[in-house]
Amino acid sequence: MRIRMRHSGRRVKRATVLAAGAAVAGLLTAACSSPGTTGAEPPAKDWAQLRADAKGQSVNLFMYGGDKGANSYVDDEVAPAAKKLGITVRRVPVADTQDAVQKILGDQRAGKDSGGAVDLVWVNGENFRTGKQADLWLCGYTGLMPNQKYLDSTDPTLTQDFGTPVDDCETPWSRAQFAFVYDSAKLADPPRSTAALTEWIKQNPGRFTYPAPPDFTGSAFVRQILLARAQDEPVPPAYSKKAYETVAPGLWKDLNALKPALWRQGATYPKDQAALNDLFANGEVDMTMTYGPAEVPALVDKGQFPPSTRVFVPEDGTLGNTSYLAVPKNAAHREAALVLSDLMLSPELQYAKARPGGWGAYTVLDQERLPEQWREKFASLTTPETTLPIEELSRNARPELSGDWVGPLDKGWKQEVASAP
Amino acid sequence: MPPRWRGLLLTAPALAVVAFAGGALLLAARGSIADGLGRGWSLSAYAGLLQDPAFADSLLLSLKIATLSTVASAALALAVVGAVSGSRRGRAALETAARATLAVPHLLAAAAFALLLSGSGIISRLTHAAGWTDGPADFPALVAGSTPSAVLLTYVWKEAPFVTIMLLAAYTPAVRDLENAIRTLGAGRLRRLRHVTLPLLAPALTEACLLVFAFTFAAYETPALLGATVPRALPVEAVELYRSVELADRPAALALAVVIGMVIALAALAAAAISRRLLLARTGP
Repeated sequence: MRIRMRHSGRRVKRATVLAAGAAVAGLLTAACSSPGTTGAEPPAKDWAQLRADAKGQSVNLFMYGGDKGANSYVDDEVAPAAKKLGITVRRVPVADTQDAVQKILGDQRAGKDSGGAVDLVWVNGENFRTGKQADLWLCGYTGLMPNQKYLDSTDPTLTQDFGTPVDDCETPWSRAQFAFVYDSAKLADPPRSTAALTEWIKQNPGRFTYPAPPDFTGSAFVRQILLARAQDEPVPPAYSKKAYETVAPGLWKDLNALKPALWRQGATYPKDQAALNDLFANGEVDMTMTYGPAEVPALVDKGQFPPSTRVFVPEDGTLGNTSYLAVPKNAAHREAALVLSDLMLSPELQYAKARPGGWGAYTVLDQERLPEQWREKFASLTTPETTLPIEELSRNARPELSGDWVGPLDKGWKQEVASAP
Repeated sequence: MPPRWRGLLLTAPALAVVAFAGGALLLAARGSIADGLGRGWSLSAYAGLLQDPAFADSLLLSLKIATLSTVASAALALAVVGAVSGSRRGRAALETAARATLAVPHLLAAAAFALLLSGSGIISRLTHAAGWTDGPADFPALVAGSTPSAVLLTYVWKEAPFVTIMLLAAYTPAVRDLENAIRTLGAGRLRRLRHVTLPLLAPALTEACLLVFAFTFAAYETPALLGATVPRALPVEAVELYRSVELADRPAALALAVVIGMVIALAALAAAAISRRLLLARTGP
């Protein structure tokens, strides 16, 4: 910013400029946070050194704030464990992970290559891809992490994130499986396949809907239908305009065919998964859906969903994904963020995460590689009847499409389905 | 210090805020004619808007929301101010009620109307209990319906008290004296309104209407909470695009912000022209 000060004899003007300047400076510095790394050079690739440097830092962990189980897991389990390593965890809830990525992108555009406010992001899919394309992530450190030895490094669900190679740029944290939620008191026998589900929707007008993409869950539902309807001619996982133009028209036709049977005749859609959950809880629709079926028991315990709530997955399988923790290159507390990502991968915290009564989210650790005592502990985990164990959920699981598919499908849905008469 | 400078110094904080807002709008304008990283020059964001049928729908919806909320709030405020004008007590009660409503944030008001008016909201439950409706699906779609009923209701509930307060401030004892004078000359209620009250309150009404129009046209939270999936109000569309991780969406979002700014600027110009004519009509050229 350039401020002309040539006629500085006029005191008033100077006062105005000073006031404005102070306001600008205040806004600019407000975003920076205190002690941490300065300078853009990457930290040394020495784990002991990283652990030592991490002591006393506090990590701003940006994560989707709408999952209460995840929130309390981080506050009640991760934060105390991190405290023992001298790391303070500050959970920063965001409405959507893209808000965190936008923040880092904004920093990058402003040329801010150190002291960034985002230290660690819970991320995957198109948000990871966008960040990787823009070279936002601190890569090459995951190999140093002691707890990586419990991971199956050949597992494609850990080496590819929605088709984007992970390349040591993020640390696996959790697994999720798309599933539908219903009330067994109202619906004794849920549809067994995706085809049966669409048939059920048509026979029960007004009792089903899905969140409007680009909501994460709604967007996943659209991909779920896309993959399910393409049994004979599989959708190529890598995006291309040609592939899109081949598969999209049929998908829009199917979704538009469902429209008259949807809640409010498809004239409007719930704006996010929380809104759909409310519709389900209020009995306006008979089903909701989630990419985190582990959250269902907690919602039942809280009284939002009835005790007869159950989870089902169509026999032809649903989408599954792995979510990760990524450190931005310009993070103010990179060392602590890296140490924390490793800590969150430890058998202790992974077990606490999977435990029913806690968050209940599935582990990324390979059971074969765990020490005997941990393998037994994981094997003894039980699943509440209000949800399904991961083995059943992930039967015939479909890997996610490449992150490049997500944007065009979300936009296409808005044009071809939401706006269709 | 000469008085002129002191005046400038005193207005400096206000000017700084205006300069800041103006600077932000200029940055948005610059970003709207650049690529996603803010570099280069291109009008493709605007060309994209013109080709997108959803843009015209959004613009029309926002104009509809702003115009209807402004007209309804103004009419309601004029009616209540006229109704209580005679009594000092009524005036005090009205002022207190209007102030109380002003204190409620728009976000809270929108959330409250959602709880009240949605398919499984309180009113729907009451009509169901009374046997008038058969359940949520039978209740009229006020929230997220094809007409933005809930959005309009929220805005009128919030803005009518605001216009009322502006009008009450302009409704001085002098206005009342003139009204009384014309009444002694035999003028009825409507005549008094047309020849005395309205002309004297018109400047305040114009200002209030401009503020209401500008706010309801550019505000995000109420249409975001109570609006339908399509069409979406311009500000909702702009925020959604701005949050998108696709770099290409950023210029389009900023272009929408510029369009919003331009519509408000046009409204402000119109209001300024009306104010000038009102002043001329009262004082002569």
